[in-house]
Amino acid sequence: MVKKKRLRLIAEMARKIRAYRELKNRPQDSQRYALDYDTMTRPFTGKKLPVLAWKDVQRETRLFTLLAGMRVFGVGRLFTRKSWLDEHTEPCYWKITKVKVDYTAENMDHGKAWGILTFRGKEEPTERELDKVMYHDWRLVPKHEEEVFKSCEPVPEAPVRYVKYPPLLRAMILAQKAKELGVDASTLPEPSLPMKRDIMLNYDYFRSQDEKNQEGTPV
Amino acid sequence: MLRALSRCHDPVVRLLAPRNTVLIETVRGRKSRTDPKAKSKLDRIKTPPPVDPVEMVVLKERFTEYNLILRALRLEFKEQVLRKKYEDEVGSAAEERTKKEAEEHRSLMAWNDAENLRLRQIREQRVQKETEAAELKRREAILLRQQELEDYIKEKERQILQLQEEAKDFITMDNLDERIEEALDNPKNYNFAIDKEGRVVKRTAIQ
Repeated sequence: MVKKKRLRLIAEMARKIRAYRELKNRPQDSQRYALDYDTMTRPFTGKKLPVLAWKDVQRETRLFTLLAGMRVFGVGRLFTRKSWLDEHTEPCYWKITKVKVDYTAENMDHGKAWGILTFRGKEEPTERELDKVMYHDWRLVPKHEEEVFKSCEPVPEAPVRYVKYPPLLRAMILAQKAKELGVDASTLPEPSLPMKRDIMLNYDYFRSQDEKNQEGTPV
Repeated sequence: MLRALSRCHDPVVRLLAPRNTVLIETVRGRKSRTDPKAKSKLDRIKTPPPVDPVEMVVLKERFTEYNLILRALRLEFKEQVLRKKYEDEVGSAAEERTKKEAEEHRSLMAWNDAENLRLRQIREQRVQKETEAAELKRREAILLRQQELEDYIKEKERQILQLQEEAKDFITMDNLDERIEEALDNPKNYNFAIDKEGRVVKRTAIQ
């Protein structure tokens, strides 16, 4: 019924060649993230940066602008972001372990970096690639201030809050419980909704719940 | 170059618009990825609307609270649904239900077998009767055919005998002369007359 599809081998080959050329002629980081500071446009795409970012772009620096002026490109140093400083009181910083500089950049101004993140006082176990490296947001933590910066008293996690149910749902729950137990609804305790529950709803959870219900009756 | 990707447009308030203005419907997403920026919009700087910080703080708090509550409720409902599914599969009532269903199935199968047996017996009897009737008919047909054959033979024999009888009176070369003499001696008159009442008159004027 359907006509046999024509084997367009040359088109296939052309597609492969185009993909290969695209791979080979990928724009370097320095090209992609180059910025014209007068018109606030990126010359590669011709797009303008959003207006709320202009102030930061003029005042702050990129990560690699800082790294370019340091020994060993800042491996082992701590870097924070201005947005983190504004937002969170706990220390959030990246400790840099590996740097790959884009060799086509004029001032060695762009590249990729890897490091270990400590976000809001909690350190991550593994090293990751730094994201938002090209943002005009980065600040170096001087060596003599590192200890002070890193020190933080661990804020204890707030206990789980319990909230009242919405009125109709609360009425429904009370009615159902009253029907089950055969008792008047006004004698039952107020049902409360826990805001956070760290459970995974799977087969094992329900089985453990069943066992717990069964174990509840002492022998 | 310019392609309309989706036609979900904002509804224009037709009630308040005066009669003689042109109703322009806004269409979002007319341009494709590769289309360049419009020349009139090249120098446009898009400023986002100003935000009142106090209002933002209040709204953020309320929204976080609201989202937390909704998430908790959703989790509750999800748990109920999954618990119901779990109960259906591995519950206290599930085994009894499966047993009952198996019982029902077995009883139905037994009834079905009984029905089949009964109908089979009825069918066998009917078939037997039919075969007997057919056998009878066959035998009768055979007899009939035999009878017919015999009748035919008898008829033919009779005809032969009759012919033999008639053959004695045939005119042959021997008695030709005598028969001619005889015929000339006795003229036969085949004429007759009949009237409307049906009276036949054999005696006519002899020529």
